[in-house]
Amino acid sequence: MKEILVHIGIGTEALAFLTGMVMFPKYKHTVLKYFPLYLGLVVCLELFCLFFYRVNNVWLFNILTILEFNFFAFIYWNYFNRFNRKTLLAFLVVFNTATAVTCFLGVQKFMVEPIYYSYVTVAFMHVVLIILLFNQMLRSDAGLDEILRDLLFWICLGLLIYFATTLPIHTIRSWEETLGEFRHGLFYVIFSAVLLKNLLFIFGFLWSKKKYTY
Amino acid sequence: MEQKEIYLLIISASATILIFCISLIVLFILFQKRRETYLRQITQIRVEVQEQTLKNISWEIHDNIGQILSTISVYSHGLIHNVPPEFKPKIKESQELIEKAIVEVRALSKALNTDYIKNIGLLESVKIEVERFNRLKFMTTDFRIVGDPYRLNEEAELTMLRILQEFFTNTLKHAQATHLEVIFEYTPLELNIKAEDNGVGFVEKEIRGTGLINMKNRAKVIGAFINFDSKPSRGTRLDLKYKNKLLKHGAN
Repeated sequence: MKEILVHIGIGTEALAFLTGMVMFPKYKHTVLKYFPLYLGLVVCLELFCLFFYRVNNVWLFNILTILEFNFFAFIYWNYFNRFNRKTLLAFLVVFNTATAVTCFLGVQKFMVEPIYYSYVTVAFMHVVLIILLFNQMLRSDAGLDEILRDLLFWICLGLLIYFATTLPIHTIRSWEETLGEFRHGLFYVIFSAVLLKNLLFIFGFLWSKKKYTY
Repeated sequence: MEQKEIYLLIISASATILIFCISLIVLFILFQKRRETYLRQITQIRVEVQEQTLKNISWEIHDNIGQILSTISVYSHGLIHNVPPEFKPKIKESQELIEKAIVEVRALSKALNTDYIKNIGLLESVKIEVERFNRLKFMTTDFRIVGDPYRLNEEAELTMLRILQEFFTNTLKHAQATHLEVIFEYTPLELNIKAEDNGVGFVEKEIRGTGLINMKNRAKVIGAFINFDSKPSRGTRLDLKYKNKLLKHGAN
């Protein structure tokens, strides 16, 4: 059952990537043109680890976490105003420095276990940054219809739901030790969050407009 | 702490954060909707005030300047019999200019008068505007109608006319265009208006004026589709679409 759900999760990620590629002309003039690159990377990594590199692959996902946050920071940077950019810059410096220092000092064992502190930090920072972005949208001249037709809104909504749901889960260091049999329940929560996130991405790709025209 | 308790704690923490975020999104949408309603009301009031001002100006032009020009015309007709013959050609020329001025002033007065526009409709009003450009040799124009014309509701027609007038003004003032093409395409479902000039064009992000925003806001008020397509040196094209909302009533 779990294996099937993993396949479904990766399947929706691949579907989101493919939809993103098909709908590419819609948003190729924006900075979101790099978003399918990220989706493609995630799908490739998941498939590679699922079929060819099933054990001791945690370091790859640790690298992905660091790249992912820096990538989204780049996306947010292009949309943020001056005030929010300062917050983003502070978050970037704190996250990268803290991750580098904790891995260097051995607090987080980068090669052999997930970098939990960084995971939690990333989730928290994402939630804050997305709320800041929504706040900025609220203060702009754009109407609700215009916002709902913007791909950025659906990407942020997907990420917000995913990170908000998984933030407390990422605080657990060892699922088996801490939760025993109950760990399966958390797997379903993460699966639902991934599914919802990818469905929101797909919906965003399909529903968004190249140029809003009332 | 028991494993079950930790599990429940994590699940409830996840649920709490998720509910918080969803509530935030719902609030965001509700707030945006309310804000939009207020903005629409403000735009509507602003448009009404503008229309009233234009109507007052139209009355002033018609009743004041128009009357003065008519009086001058009458005097000049009386004068022509009492002047030496060498002055007659000059007076005749002046009379012709006064007649021209009276025609233009009346046309301008009509173009500004809301009641007149509502009475004759969008199509006739645009025709008058375009003919005026031809008459004054501002630029060459091409006006075409495709399909069977029908009337839309008065407010929508008036708003669309104001959008087109703003577009024409921009074409005259900024575009340095020599040709303007206007197409009214009537289909049973909607009216598609295309207006295109061969002017200098623009890059939308670089536009500082309020003209484009005004046009978009006006279109928003009546729920019309509006799109500008322009590139430097390639002219500007306006697409304006409005659903035939009277179709349902007509069918009944």
